[in-house]
Amino acid sequence: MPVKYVLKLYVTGATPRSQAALKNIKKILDVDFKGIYSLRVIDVIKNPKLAEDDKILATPTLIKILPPPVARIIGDLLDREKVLLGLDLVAMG
Amino acid sequence: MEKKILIADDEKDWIQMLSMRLEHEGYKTEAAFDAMQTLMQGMREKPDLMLLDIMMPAGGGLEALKNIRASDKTFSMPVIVITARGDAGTRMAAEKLGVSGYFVKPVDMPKLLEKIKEILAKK
Amino acid sequence: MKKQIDNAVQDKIDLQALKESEARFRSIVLWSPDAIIVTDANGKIEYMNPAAEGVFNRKLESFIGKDFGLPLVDGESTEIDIFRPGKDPGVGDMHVVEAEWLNKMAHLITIRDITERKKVEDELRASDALLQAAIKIMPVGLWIIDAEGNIKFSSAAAQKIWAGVKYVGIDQLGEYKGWRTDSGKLVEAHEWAGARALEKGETTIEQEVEIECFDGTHKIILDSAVPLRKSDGSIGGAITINQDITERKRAEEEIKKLIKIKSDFISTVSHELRTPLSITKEGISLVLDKVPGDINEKQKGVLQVANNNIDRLSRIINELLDISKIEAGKVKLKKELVDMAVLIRGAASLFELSIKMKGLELKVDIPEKQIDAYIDLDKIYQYFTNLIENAIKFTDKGHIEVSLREKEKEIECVVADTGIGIAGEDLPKVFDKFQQFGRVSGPGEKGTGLGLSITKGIIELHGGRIRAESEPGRGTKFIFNLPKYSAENGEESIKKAKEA
Repeated sequence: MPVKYVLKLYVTGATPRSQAALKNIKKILDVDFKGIYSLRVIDVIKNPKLAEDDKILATPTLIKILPPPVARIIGDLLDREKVLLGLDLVAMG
Repeated sequence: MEKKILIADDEKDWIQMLSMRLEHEGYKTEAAFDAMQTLMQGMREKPDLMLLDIMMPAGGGLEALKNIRASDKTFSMPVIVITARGDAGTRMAAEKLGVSGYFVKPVDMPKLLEKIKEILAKK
Repeated sequence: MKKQIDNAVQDKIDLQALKESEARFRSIVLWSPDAIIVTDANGKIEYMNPAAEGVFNRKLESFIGKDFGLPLVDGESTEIDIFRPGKDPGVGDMHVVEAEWLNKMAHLITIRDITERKKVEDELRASDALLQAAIKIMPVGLWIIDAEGNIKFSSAAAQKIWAGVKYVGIDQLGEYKGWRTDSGKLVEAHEWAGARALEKGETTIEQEVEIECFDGTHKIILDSAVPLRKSDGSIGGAITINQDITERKRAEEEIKKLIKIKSDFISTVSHELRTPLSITKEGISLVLDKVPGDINEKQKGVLQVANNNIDRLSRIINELLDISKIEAGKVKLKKELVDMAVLIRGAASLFELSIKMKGLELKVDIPEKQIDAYIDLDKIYQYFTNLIENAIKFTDKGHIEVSLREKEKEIECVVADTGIGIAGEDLPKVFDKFQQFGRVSGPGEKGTGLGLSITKGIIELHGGRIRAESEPGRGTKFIFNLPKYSAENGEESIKKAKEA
């Protein structure tokens, strides 16, 4: 099955906020878009240049690249509804 | 007259060696192998000197010594203790009962013979 | 006309009020130390206040019009990690309200830099976690008693030791049953170390107590406690520590038992060996003395070798008995005040002749004064002369030197020779039993190999010490130290003895 959803998650090392964000987004993606998403996790400490290029100010910042349009959310990723809404995504089923 | 020495010890081999030595020195020897015999021989033969071992059956040397000192026939008999027991406790107990010498095995033979000569000369 | 004027005036007043509130708003935004970001409904940045540059540690002009992201907050605010190129990441508290901005829906985002506060919180949490971990892994029981005397906390190990816990106050500490092992007396509630720490500020170190645990079993523990003092010096609580030493005590008893068994065994065997030894010796002597008949030279020679070895056997048995008595603690020293200078000088002079006869020189370095030490005269004399004998035995040329030095609390004596020495790898074993290092000794008695270990035992029984230094081919030194005074009376005993 081809990947339909491509996302980028910017985190800061292994801070509690970064760890929570990763856990939360994975939970949402695995439920709603299992098998058809690609999530790239970028550590701003390891890749500051990428973060600067993407004009990242703070993490966790989640960017949806596909399907268009590009959407960006920042902050708490716990609330599934809010996340999907913010990313301009519609859940399957 | 020849002096008579009673050797009281349960080791027959030791008595054999010691008597050979003493007889070579000109003494007559008698043997007793336990505490009972020691007492009986002591009273019957009335030796001039007793060489007494401590570790003996039928009561032990100290018991025999006590009885020897208790009986008027033998109370003044000179006794030299020859024993393997070198501890201070046994030695003190023997000296309390009255001994003329205390030798620990293996014996310094020249010293023992010297002592025997000394004691028998007094008689 | 009037309405128009009124309206115009009203408008002017409204406009003025609006301008004033705007000005107020503007100063709040401009002067706030927190970063204030205004984004449109989709998260595109419309405005950033001056403080934002400080918070994000960079120039922010290029961010206007760029995506900040839709801010998602859980509840009142949410923590985020602040990306600061060139600096360590910070932690921020993000607060979002929806507002109207230029007639559009906008997000008013405030980000407070809480990096410092977080650091302090994390450090506290880490040290607390460390403390908790330490308490958990400590194999000793820990109790915390509060200022009112109530047990507030008892560690897992503490509960394991006592097979449970009773959160009582000091008055009910009697529920913890224990008896002091030295006196056998029951430990009353207020006599427990923790109680004494709290009530009297006493610090107790390792009081040995036999306890009856809450499951009825008995254990032996070490009870320790310290008071906790507040900044004004008053007592604010106490900490009690219990160590379970039941196993250790059992092992100590076992060892004592084993030493006694070994000592008794050696004692019994030694006595048993003496009788056949004496018979054999007398037998050989009789034949050598030709009592049962004449013997030829060859027979004499053979029997003499046998005789020497019977004597050697006898010495070994005696020394084995000595050393086993020392090890079992059965040797009692008859200590008295002895002038060591006289003793050492006297012992050395005994050997003058035999030293000279071997072609050696005797050097004596002893101060011309009285040097007293508290020792068992016979034993020290015996083993000191042993050392000189050894020195002579293993030296063929050069000298034997005997010296004595007085120090503050002890005397030091050295027996040095210029003999064949002891190899480096053998040196640490020189005081072990039956060590002879394959030194082929000259004519004369063969040693038993026990002498030095007995010497060491006797000297250590005095509270002294002995060591050996050696260079193979150059010589050997035996250095021993003995205390000048008895441990109990110290200098007083010496003074009194001198006055007497």
